[in-house]
Amino acid sequence: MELICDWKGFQSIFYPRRRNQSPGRSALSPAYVLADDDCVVAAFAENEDLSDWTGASLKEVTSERNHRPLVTLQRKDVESWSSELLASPHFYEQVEFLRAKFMASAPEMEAPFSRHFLLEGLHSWWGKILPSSYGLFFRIEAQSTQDFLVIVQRGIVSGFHEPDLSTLGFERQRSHLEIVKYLSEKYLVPVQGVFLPSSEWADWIESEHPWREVAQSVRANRVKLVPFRWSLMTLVASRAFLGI
Amino acid sequence: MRGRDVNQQPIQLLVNYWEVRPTLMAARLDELLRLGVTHVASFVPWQAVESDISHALPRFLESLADRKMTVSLILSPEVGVNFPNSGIPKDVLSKPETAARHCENGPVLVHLPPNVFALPSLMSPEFTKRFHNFLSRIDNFLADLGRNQPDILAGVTVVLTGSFWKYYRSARQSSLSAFGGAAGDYSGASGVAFRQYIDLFFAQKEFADPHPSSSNRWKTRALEEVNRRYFFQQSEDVFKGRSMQFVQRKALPVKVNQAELFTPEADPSFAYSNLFQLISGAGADFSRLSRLLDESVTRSSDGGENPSPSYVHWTGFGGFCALADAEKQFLILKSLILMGGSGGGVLIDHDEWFSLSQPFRARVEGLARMISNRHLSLRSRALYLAPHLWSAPGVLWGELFNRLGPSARVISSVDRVVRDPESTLLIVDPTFIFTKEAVSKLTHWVRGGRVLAIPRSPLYTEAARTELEQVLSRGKSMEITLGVSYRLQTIGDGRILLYDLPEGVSGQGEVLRSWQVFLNSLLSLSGIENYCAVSDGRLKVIPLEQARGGVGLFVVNGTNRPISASLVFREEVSISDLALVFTGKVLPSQVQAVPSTQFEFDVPPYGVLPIAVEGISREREESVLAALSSDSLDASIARAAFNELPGYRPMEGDQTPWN
Repeated sequence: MELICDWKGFQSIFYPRRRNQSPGRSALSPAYVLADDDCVVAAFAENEDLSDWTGASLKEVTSERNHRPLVTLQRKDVESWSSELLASPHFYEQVEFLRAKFMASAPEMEAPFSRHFLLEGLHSWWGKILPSSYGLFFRIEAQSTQDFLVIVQRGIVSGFHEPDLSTLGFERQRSHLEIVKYLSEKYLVPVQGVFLPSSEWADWIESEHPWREVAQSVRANRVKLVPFRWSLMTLVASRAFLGI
Repeated sequence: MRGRDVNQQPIQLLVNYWEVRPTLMAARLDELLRLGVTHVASFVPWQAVESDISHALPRFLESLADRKMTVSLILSPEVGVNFPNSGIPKDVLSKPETAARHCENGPVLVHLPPNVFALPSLMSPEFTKRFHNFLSRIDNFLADLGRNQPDILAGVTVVLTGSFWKYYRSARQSSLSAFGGAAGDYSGASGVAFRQYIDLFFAQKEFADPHPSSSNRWKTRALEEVNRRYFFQQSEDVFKGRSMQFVQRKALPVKVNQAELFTPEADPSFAYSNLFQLISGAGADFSRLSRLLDESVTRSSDGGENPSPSYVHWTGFGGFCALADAEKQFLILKSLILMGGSGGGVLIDHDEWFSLSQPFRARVEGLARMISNRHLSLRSRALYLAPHLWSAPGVLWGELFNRLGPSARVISSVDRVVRDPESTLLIVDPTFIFTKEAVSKLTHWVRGGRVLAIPRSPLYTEAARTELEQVLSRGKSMEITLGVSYRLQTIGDGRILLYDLPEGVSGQGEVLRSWQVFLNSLLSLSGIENYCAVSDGRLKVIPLEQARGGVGLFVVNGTNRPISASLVFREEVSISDLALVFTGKVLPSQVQAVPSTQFEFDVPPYGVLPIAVEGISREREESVLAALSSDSLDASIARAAFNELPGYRPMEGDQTPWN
């Protein structure tokens, strides 16, 4: 049985967990306050217990606020977003919806979240050029290999999971081209395979210019794109060197 | 998941069969076996069963049986299941009439992967019909398996949980206080069932006394909230009872247990924290999760004749996995101490468990062994009887919780009071409806030296009032005003306090002060005192009783800073490091410090300091418990003699075998 939206796998690929984070690391992240008119219903800041703020008035909290910037949300707005997000098909889209609503409500604010560079690319103007439906298959090789397939339909991530390749046979599983062909036939979408070592993937995530790293990795043949598509490489290069 | 007497698995690892590809299942189980895991738990999502064309569940059970491993299959719909809509079929959820509504008329949302969804109403006839079909299907499946391959079922335990009932709460009210506000499903389906319940319940003869129209006084709008609380509790009990019946129709050889499963990450009090976390991409609100544990352990639900053991479920995809390792370890240890000590434990995703350091796991396993062998247990010292377990109790409960923490329990059944062997104090909520039977059982419970506080409220039936007056006329009484005015009545060795409700039931100012003074009297009468005091309010102490005598104190520091503090006792005690005892290599007597009344110590950030204490005197409580134990022994002997010796008649009054 395959989970079409494997959030655990999605998190481990795109947002690897932060282990043993230091308390000071997020000291300057914003404090979020949810208010019911003037009464604070909930407050949150990373690595800080703001439970004392609950039940206080917004004025008290604003005057008492510490070093963190304060972001205030109204409960009615947030509950209305919550109800609306039920229409989205799965967690990733629901989170994206929520963040879009939040950013629309506070346009002057810098986005507090960071999206994985690859997902950022998929949500950019690339959507106008890429096919309406396609899949991206990642094989990240370390001591144990991790496979992951992301399916995009009309610019929306519609599925993400580790595909079952067991019916492919051992020999065919070793051929990158066979895997991509199999997945294309199974999911009825063109699939782009990306085969790379885990160290490369980790470097990309850590890098300030990930697309530049991607382009250089492909050029140095540390990453294999199967099939190799010049059009895709052009998109990568434009993002890597022109920043668009 | 097993009950209090045989809590063999305080830590259960979650291995969901549908998350593992069939071809990899054998390797995964072999790996677990190699790591010393012989028991696992798995949710059985309703939708997964309905679409299980590859027979994943029987193959999973077969693989476990081949390895002589045992499994707990959790059947009830639960939150925190890594399956779309937590495994509830989409068509059931898609109908607006089947959705639950909280007391502020909003949907009850669960903000966890794989998708945010609204909880269905467990009172919707359509939902329950489909759910019972699912349970029948499971029953048939297990019965077939039992007939054809009985060995496979030898290690299978079916677990029915408390399901969604406790999550029917408003996020706003729960955010202010975890179990604040009125809990319960206020959907249309629930409303219809409520009206039927009211008519049926108050048609009982006792409520129609002294004349038939008397029953109408119980159905007035003023009592609507009280009646709803009773209705929600009764609906939950009926749901649990029916579910038990459905899975026990055919599959007789399978063990069926009931448990209460808390998933803090899906709790309404954590809903806004979840939203903040999703918006900001930050880590989870650790302190809220920690506080929620403190509250959860105090709710003790019933499963048939025994209390359901409570388990905390930490998922592998919610806020918990976004925490730092030190925070996770703290929460796991704390939940094990609180829930494990009370007969339950911790349910945790196996990947999360093995991502933690080996020394930590060894330490937790050591503690779990002590809990499993009943060397350590969390005793409930005071009970609070309320009509509904998940709704906010009165002000007195808040004060009781502040004073006793996890040693106080909210319960919702009079029979549970009668069965409780440990507590010496019972406080009854002002919204409790007294029937003759309830009064009779509660006043009988007092004998043996216990203390009962009941409100002077209008919520007594005529028969209950007469019964109470009869009981109260037997002993000596006096009227006292200490904070709250009350009548103190002595019944044998026990005491009944009939208290007045102060003007205004709010928990602030003078009224709050009155309640505090009253509670002091209650605790003093029942001989309940805190074992010690800590000089720093940021530290909390969880007391676990040691089977060999003495107390195990777990001093927990839920902050990210080291704290130096002192522990102050009333009399001289000797302490030792309980952590060394976990390893089984050192006896407490070998590591004792010099006896004293005060001890200085440092607790690291997110640290749990286990201390064994010898020499705490609890004379009053112990004498009550000894008297109760003696009464219970006498009753058992009399029962045995009556059954075994023809013609035996129990002696009455002052008769003894010697005269």
